[in-house]
Amino acid sequence: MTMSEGGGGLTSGSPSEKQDIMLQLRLFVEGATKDKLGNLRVSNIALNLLKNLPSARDAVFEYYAGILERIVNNYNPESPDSSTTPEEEEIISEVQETLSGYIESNPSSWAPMVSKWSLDTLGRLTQQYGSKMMPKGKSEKGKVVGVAGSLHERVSCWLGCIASRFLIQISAECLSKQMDDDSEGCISSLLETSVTHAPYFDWVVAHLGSCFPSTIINRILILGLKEYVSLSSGMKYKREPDSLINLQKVPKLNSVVNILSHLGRNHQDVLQESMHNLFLSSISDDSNSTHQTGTVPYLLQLAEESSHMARALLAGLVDVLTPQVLDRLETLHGNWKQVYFTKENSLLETVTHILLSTDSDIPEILLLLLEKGGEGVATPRGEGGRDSDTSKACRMIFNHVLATMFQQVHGSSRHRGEGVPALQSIHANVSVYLDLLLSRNRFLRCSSAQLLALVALHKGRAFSIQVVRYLLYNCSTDTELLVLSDFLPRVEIFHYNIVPDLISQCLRSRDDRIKTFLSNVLRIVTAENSKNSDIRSSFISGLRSEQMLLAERLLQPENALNVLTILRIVGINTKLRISHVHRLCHCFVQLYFSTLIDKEMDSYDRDKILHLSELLMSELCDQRFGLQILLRFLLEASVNSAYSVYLGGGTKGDVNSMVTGKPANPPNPPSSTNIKKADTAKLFRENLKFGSMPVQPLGSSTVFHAGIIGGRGGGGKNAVARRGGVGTTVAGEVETCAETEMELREHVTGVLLRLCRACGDEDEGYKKLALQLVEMVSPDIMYNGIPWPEEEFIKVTMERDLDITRTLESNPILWNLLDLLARHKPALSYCSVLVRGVMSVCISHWQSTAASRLANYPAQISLTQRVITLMGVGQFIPGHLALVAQVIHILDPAQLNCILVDMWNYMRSNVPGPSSYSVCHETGQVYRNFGTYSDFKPYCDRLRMVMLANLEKVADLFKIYFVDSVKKEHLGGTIQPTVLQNHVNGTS
Amino acid sequence: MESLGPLMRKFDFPQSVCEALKIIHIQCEKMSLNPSSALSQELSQITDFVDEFVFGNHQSKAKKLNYLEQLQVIQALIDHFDSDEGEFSLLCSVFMVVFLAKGKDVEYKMDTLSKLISLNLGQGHNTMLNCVALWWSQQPPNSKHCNQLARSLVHEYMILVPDIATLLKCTPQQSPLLAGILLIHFGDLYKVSSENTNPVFKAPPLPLVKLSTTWLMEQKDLCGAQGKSECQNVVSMLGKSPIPALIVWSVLAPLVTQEDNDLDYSRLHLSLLLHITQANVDASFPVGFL
Repeated sequence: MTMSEGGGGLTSGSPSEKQDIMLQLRLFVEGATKDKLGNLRVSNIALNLLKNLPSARDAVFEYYAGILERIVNNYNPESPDSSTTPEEEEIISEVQETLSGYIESNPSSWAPMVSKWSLDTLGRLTQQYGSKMMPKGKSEKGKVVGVAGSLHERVSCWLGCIASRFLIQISAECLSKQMDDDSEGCISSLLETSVTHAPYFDWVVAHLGSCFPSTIINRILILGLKEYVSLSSGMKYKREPDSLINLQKVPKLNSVVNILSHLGRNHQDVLQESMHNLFLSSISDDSNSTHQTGTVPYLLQLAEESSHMARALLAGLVDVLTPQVLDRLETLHGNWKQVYFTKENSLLETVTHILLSTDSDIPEILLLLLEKGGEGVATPRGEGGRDSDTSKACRMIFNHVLATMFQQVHGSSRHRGEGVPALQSIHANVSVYLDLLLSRNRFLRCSSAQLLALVALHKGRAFSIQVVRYLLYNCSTDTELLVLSDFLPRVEIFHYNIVPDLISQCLRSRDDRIKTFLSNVLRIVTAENSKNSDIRSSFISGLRSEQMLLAERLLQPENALNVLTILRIVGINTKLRISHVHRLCHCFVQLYFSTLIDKEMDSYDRDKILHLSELLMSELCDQRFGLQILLRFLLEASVNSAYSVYLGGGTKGDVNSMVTGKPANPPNPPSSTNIKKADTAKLFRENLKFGSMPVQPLGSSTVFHAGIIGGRGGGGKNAVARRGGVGTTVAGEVETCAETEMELREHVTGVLLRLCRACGDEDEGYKKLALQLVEMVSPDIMYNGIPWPEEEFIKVTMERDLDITRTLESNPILWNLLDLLARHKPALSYCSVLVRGVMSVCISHWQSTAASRLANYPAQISLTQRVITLMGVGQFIPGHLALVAQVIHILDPAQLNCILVDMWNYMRSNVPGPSSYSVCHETGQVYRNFGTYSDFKPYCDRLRMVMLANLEKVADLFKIYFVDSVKKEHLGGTIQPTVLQNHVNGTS
Repeated sequence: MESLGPLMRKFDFPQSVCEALKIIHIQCEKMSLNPSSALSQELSQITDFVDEFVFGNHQSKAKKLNYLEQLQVIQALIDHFDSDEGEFSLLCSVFMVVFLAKGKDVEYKMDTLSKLISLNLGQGHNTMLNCVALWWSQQPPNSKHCNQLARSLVHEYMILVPDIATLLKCTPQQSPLLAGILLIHFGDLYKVSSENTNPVFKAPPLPLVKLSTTWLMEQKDLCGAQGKSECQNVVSMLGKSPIPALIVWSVLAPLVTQEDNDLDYSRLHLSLLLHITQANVDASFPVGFL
């Protein structure tokens, strides 16, 4: 037994050695047949025979297969460590060492042989013990084990057994050696074994394939291609006419599909590269015609069978499909249809199925289809238009994909999360398709709109909103906007209320493209309103529901016109909450004034904004408290904000309070306080000039009587400018001229007038304006009534009267408003306190300057004239007394004081209450009947006397008022109030 | 022989094989003694007997013998031919009958023969080798089975385990006819292929070149290198010489192989030149060949 124990070789061939080998053969046969368990001695003999006796090789392999089978039989997957004996482990170790040595030294001969044996043995063992090799807790009685449990778990179980581990290792070793020489043969044998023992053999192929993914995948692909091409002749495989080759019915191809699919899971890159290489090599010029024809159909059918292969085929395909490749495919296409895709549309259906079965690179591929398909469709400008077969095919495929997607989306009800992979991936790469929506190419526009509509239905309303939002933010032409009319109807019926949600989102966002958005919305609502558009959505109702958000955009100058136009079309909601009315009013007034003072704005836009804001404010007057709020804001803005500067007023407020747009801004603190402080400072300086420095602080009354009144002759904007007025915070250094100020005042007054009329009851409107005016100018509640008190009472209200006068003086628009009210009797009655305040100040002034000359106080003269005229127009006093305004120049201060006191007394006796006015039945005008001249003669005597004394200057007036009128009265009749009134107004 | 069936089934394997061979031996002896009997009918019966009791599993006819059992059959055959029972011609008859290329599973029979030859070439059983040579000489020209046998021997001794090729060095001494036959078939295995338009030549494995050189150099009678010999050589037996095919090796093989084996091919060339001198040309080639 020297040979057997030592394991030496028979090289000399001496007779003793020859006898020895025969003896070993006998011992081996005896041992192998009798000793069924592994025996180390017999194993050693077997290994020696393997080396020295070629004819015993099959028997030796059979012997070891038996040992391995017994080891697998004894193996318990749940306790792998306890199933093998040390002797068995040593036997396997020795076998592995020996076989590895042979394979290493002579791979071309030993590798195929050992590989075949190991794979056959593995196949037999996997089939025989497949049911046993289940992960713990997963074994199910009566279930096909090859299918149960994951492949990875089964691989783990099998590799836990020393026997199968040895076999798979030695197989891998053989394959690695064979790959260079006869890879096709070894892969073929692997596949054949796989076919024989499918599906139990899957784990073997999976494990071996993972060791050499590149080679295995390449070879398997080529092997499958050969089989596929050979089948096309119909010699080996009979297929139905007009049908595809059914890969599942061809064992070898089915095996190819299973193996590649499995390898594709972990080695997608390799599979992708192999498939692409095969594809590219098939379309090269030097490829043989059969492969040229068969490769693409083969790859397509593989991809159709397995999503992993579809993923590998499609990944990076866009880079491969260059124009040259596409041209080549165009030429090969006819052959495919002739040989493989004989059934009509079968190629189209296959491609569609592949595209929809995976999410790999689908967006890019669909984009390629769109771009290529779009090349054949001319743009409106005549670009493109080369409609090749490739373009047609791309369009056809894309449309078929769309149709199939449509069926999938609208077909069976899907649970959330379970989706069409292609749609999922498009959703993740949506930006490029959104851009296509704005393409000039109609095919691209329509196709992408349809595709995105399907994605939207699949993904939900948020995506729909995203698409519509994109369109509204980016469309710049009507043509582009028409895409919306294509897209919206497709999704709107499924995603209820998306338009209001979209509008809400956009208006809340801080996107700087809001101008485009509003411009597009305007176009849509205009079309919607015209009832002549394709868009039948709910933009108008949506905008109406988000009116408050829309109104906020009024404060952005660049958006104001669009928003106003939209609001005008949409209309103001009829039932708004007070807070909303308040905010809307605020926004409108703010916009109105900011536009009014903006001289740089395009005049057309400016006029339009002013017009539309007025119209919308008029609409707001129908709301409860609408008019009051509007009047209040307008008055506040005209008087207490920086806008007052532009109206010729001296601002006392901060224009920022309006600009910031904060609702319900309270009126600024009483303006008198600020002015008083400034005036006090000024007076302090004046006193210093006369060297009469007060030794102790003087009270305000002292200051007033030291000549403060009239000291603010410049008033208005000059005062603001001196004080660094807040007006400059709006428009820098404010420069306005008196004419402009007057024009603006007229504008504001006109708006106020029309708003008062817009509320339905005109008188009520004026009344509200009057009351607002009083409330704003004289917010005190004491002594604010209509009746005039005793003259002596002036002392009590002097400070307030000064304040009223100063406010009126500072804000010329108030005079305009008072004039307006005076003309619309009896509205001025409600402003009695304001008139009284001014009159009181005038009386006090002329009383204190009785010894002076009238001409020294032009401002006071003007004020006195103005208040008397106002009282005349408003019919607070008869025309005779109102005449004072025209003849004031003949009076000296003392006379004027006396006459003013007469007027005061008249007013005290004849309260200018609304009830003292009546309506003329003939003309419908409101007027006050003062009665006969004798009724108010006592109050006119001093005037008459003064005029008489200066008859040469005022003869004509004296004649009209004190001669003609009295004469007429004596002749029988009262004075026609209108005649005198017109004269006083200067209209006669 | 049908009557022997029940008796034979009483034996266990591989004893049944030994007994069957004895019966075949007796039958062959009977046939040689009685040449007038119906040879074809008896041969058919013996073939069936061989298929059932030598190469078949008589316990279960559907089941083939496995490789271990095949090895046991080979052992039984060697034992029978080594037992010195009977003369060589009778043993030859037994061999011919056992490996007659007819019957149920000829392929299995040929596989067993291949292993038997392989084993005996290495172990040098003269009787068996000569029986093989005679069996081989009886096969038709270009026999598929003969080619398979030759290919199998080359694969096992020259390719798979080239170290043991030296075991075959003595074959010409043990059976010059078999050595000559093998040289002819080896030459046929590696010849210029004329199947394609472009002739293809695949070089033989180097151990085979060396073995052929050794055989030709050490056994000059193999192809009549020493003039007319009394030794029965393959040229006269088969009417075919291995020389032409081996000359192709010596010329083409160095051109198609990348390894530097020029010395080995030179030696082969020399050995061949020795066989085709004017003096021994008649012995090296069949009459009228040149």
